[in-house]
Amino acid sequence: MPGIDKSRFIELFNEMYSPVKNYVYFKTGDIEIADDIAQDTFLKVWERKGEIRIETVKPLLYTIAGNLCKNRFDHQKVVMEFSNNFRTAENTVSPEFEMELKEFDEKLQRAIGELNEKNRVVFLMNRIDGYTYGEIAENIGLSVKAVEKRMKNALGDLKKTIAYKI
Amino acid sequence: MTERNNSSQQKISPAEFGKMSPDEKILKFTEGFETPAGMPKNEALNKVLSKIENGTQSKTRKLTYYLRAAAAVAILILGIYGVSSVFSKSKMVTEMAQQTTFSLPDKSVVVMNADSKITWNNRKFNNSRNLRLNGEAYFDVQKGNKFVIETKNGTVEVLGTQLNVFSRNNEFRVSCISGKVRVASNTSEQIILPGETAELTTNGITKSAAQNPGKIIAWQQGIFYFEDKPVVSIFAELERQFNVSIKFNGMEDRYITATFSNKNLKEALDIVCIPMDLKYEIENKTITVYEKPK
Repeated sequence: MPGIDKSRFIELFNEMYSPVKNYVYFKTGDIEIADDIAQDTFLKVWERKGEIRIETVKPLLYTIAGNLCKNRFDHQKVVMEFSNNFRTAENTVSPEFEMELKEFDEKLQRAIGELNEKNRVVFLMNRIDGYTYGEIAENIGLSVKAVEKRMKNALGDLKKTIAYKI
Repeated sequence: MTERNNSSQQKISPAEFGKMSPDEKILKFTEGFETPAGMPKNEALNKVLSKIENGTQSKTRKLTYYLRAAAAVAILILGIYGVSSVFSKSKMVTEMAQQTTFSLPDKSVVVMNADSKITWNNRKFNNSRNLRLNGEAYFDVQKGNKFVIETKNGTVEVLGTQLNVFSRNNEFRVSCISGKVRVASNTSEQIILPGETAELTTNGITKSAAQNPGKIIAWQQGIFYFEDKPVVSIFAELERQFNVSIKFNGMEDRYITATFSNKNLKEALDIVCIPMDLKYEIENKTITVYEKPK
């Protein structure tokens, strides 16, 4: 039976709001736009609540969010701002090491912003949202092979940019 | 899919970090990344639910389209207005150490001294001859209706004549070369005749005795006459004429009568400094003037 009721919708929201918002953020590098588009995405799903199938709703969310992004912007180069929860192990903190980590962190973030959007989205969905390649493939409508390839490209590009920056 | 708990902190030691390959570094680091918080999830949910319940979704959509259309029209109108007023607004600016001569739409000739600015409205100029001056300029005004020069220190009104206007900071001086000029500030006004100079002082506009008009406008030939003027205003003129900056570490309360040309900086400095017992040092574009040690 297609269709979802309100309680199922709220459940879906709680589960998927952050990943969808992250998805838009990975594309645009703008957290306010990400919030906006993620909310619009869920509203659109609700508008079509009669035809929704719960098994396919996740790919649908990503498709809608992706289209809303396309409608709004073209973002070739974005600036990502991640907070990093890395901390140095206690008692071993030397200022030089702190510095080294900080520098690496900055370079990495800049390099991520310079990645090709497709590679960046896949890479960050895996690293930050913790999705498996299979889950990514299903959600954004790719083959697992394509996801693997984009991961590999992203990693390769990041290494290159970071090494070049050093 | 449940959300990952990102609050657990990962620890890393220099030894571990050193041993990692570039791949491992990148993967480990990015795993620890958190996206910016943005709007809290429950707040977002409430927002979405209230939109659903009020059915405002499509309404707000329409409204925003109307707003967008209205904004587009407004921008277009403003744009046309802005562009036309930008085109009709004219401006002449001289930099440091630069003079320029140009004529206004009514064929009046203006010679601008260094570091000065004149603005006027091209479209309206022939009906009301009105312009704004900051700095110093000489005007050879064509006969016709009222010609008004506004400055922040006061207004000058002329009927076909030649005159020199100086308005910088709080200094305001108008000299009449030929014809008749009315000079007004907030509190007072004076009518001056050829050779006379009206100057803004603490007592309002005062008239000084007639002098050789040639000296007043000699700056057009690069010659600067100063009669009993504060030494700092002479340094200010030197700064403008030679595009340098002068630091004066001496007694400011003294007056000087001097003539210098804007062809040679050292010569001009000597003319001011030697009679005043001052020394100067030139370093690139900065000149320091100080009292000669006794």
